[in-house]
Amino acid sequence: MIVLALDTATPQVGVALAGPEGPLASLHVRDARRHGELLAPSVEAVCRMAGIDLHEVGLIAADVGPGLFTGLRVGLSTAKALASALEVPALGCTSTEILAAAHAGADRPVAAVVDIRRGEVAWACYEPSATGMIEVRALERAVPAALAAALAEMGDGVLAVGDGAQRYAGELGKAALGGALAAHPSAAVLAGMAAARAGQAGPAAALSPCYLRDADVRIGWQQAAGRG
Amino acid sequence: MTRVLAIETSCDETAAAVVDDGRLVRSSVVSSQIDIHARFGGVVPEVAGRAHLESLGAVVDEALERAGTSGAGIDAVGATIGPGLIGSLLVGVSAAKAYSLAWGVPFVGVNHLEGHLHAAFLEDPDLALPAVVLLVSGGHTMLVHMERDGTYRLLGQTIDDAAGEAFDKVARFLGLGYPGGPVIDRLAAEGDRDAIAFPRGLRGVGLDFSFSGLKTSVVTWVRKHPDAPVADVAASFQEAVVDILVEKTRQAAAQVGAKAIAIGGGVAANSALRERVEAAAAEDGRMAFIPSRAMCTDNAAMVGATAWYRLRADGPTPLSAAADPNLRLPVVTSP
Ligand SMILES: [Zn+2]
Repeated sequence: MIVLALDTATPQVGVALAGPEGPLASLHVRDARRHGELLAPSVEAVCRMAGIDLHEVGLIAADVGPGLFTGLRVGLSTAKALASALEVPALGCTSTEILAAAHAGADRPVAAVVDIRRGEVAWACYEPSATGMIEVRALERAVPAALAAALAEMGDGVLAVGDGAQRYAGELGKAALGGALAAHPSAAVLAGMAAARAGQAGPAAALSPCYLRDADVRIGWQQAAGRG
Repeated sequence: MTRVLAIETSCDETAAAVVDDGRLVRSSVVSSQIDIHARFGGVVPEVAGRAHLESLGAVVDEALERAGTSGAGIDAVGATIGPGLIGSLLVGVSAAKAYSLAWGVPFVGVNHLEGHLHAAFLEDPDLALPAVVLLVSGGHTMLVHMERDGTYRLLGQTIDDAAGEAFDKVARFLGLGYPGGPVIDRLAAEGDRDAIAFPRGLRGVGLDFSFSGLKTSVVTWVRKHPDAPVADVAASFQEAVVDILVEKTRQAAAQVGAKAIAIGGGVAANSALRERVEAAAAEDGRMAFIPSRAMCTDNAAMVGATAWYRLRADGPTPLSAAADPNLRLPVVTSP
């Protein structure tokens, strides 16, 4: 079965296709303000690169966050509509799971840290095992100081990855930092994960975002100036 | 025959419709978020964006089902691309692009304001041109000269608050709840519209509007007369808004020699405005077009009609097109 994976939870827009034999094609572009412009053309481009027609896709996978609200909305709205229109199931993975999965070969625990702006991060911790990454600390929202304290408690051997770890590197103490390549969840990794978990896929309607933060309830008189 | 699936998510209505050849509305489904925003007293952008994402899929499915069609029967997908709340627009635009990709049909980005202008024609294909359209909503108050289909000239607009915004803010101040339009409309029917002489902004000065002074004077007056009947305040406020809207619409129609006057946008659902525009047009010997209330408020049928028109005139919109929260009407600057 062919998996189409979309990742728009961070400033990176990622699209990947994977088949039974592994990766087919992927495209990752980093431009935080243009998720809505980049995603659909990227899907088109990745299909063209892989020589795959969208109708051959049997599963849509999406990064459900946490991450940037705007990016999540573009990615999930696209994923839901694609799954519905192609009449195939959909599967969501969190941004921290995807970040951690890229480090399945690590010899130590991996803290996946996503920058969710306004001075906060979302993070979870995973341990590599023979069967993949096992969550050892559940996803939560934290200020960098609290994250640093939690990491210090876990000892020296934690590998911190993700754009949150990069941004607050100076405050994270002795945790080892993943390189720049580990800064954003990868759609190619997501495609592989989704293929392995295909049995857990559900209908498009069940795909829902993980915001991890309540909506800011200020009324948008100003923002609504454009509304008609 | 060209069958368009249209999507509208620019503000607080999640809507989808199936429209054939820009005229025949096969289905039009609107899921309102009013109940969700009522407790905040206005539209909350982040809450709206989340709600659109949650309900759009089901709304599209229902529009297809009610039209007795499926993806295989759709020839193009249109969506409002602006103006509106960016987080809301992106949900509809992203979904529309995805449907277009999956079904292999063109995507068409639609200007929401042009949609409101086209709404008039959906219910009355014989509407005579040139026409003057008064477009009044929570975000807009403008007078548009429609010379022929697709050719518009902006004659005047609000310099501060939109008319619908004034209704919402005054209703909120009076403790009447949200949205302000329908509740003031209802209450005004029981009050005396001549009880209080609220100011008519920019009266006699061109075709622009101003409503922020009116809102302030309602607040000042009520603070001075705390025991005055709320129905009289509502009726007098509404009268001030309707008065200036009708006065300037007549003036605009006379200025350009319009054959018809049309209204559109959420505030065009107001009973007093509908009656007064109809009466004014009759008095001036012009045709009046007062769309059904459902066609005045945000809906996707008007987006479908506009998408069909734009597809014929300009061709498909590229999938790389950006949603634009401040998109303007494609105005033609003819003399
Ligand atoms: Zn509108």
